[in-house]
Amino acid sequence: MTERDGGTVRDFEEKYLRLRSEAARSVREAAMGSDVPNGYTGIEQADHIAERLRLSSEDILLDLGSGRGWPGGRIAQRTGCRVVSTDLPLVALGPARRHWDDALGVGRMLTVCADGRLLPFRDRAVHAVTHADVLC
Amino acid sequence: MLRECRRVLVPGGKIAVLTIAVPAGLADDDAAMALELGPSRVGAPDTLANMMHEAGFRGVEEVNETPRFREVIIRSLARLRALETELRTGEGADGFEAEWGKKSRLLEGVDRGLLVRTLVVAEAP
Repeated sequence: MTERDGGTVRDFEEKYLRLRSEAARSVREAAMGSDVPNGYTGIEQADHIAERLRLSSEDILLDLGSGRGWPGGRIAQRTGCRVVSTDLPLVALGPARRHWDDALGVGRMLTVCADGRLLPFRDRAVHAVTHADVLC
Repeated sequence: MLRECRRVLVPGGKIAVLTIAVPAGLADDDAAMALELGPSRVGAPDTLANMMHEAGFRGVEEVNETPRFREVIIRSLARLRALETELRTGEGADGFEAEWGKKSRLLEGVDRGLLVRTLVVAEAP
């Protein structure tokens, strides 16, 4: 990881540690329909993506740069698929695992600390990929 | 990263990418303003659809999600304003101002046509 990458990860860690008050949660609920997202992808948009991907309970979704497990967790909720959530900040992945274990059932979401440019998965391992606001 | 996505996808597997971007073809001044108004990583070297093609995906489809994005920002700003007192207490004055400024700049960028939100869906060969 380069020094610049390390700075980016720290920026994201700080982002996930901010806006944790009840009032901040209320803002996310009002804007996006859930207090889980950290970006700009609300429930409506996550459900739209779920329809486009046409996943089943046999499928595995890879959610890159998922933060607290969004939108992958929501897509798994809608389609029944399993989801692998990857990101670099551990401050986001830990809460993601706890939240979605409760919401989806233990074992439906796997969290992996990984860089999207060098994924620790074998070829042809997943049936769909999402990423929201990673490239901007 | 997109090539890695293609590698791990089964043939026919789909990828869906949401991004906030600067539209192609802006004048230099407008492009510079877009970078100021957008998220810190908004300056992609090419359009996402072109990058998908170059990474080997097929059936690349681009959907304009800017109106829905605009609604999210407006709802967020309205709630921020309504809960300003609580947010200044819970997040600090700097935290509130940072969030308000970020969302306001995004809305300005969208309304001036300098920022767009796009969903790109494509399929692995």
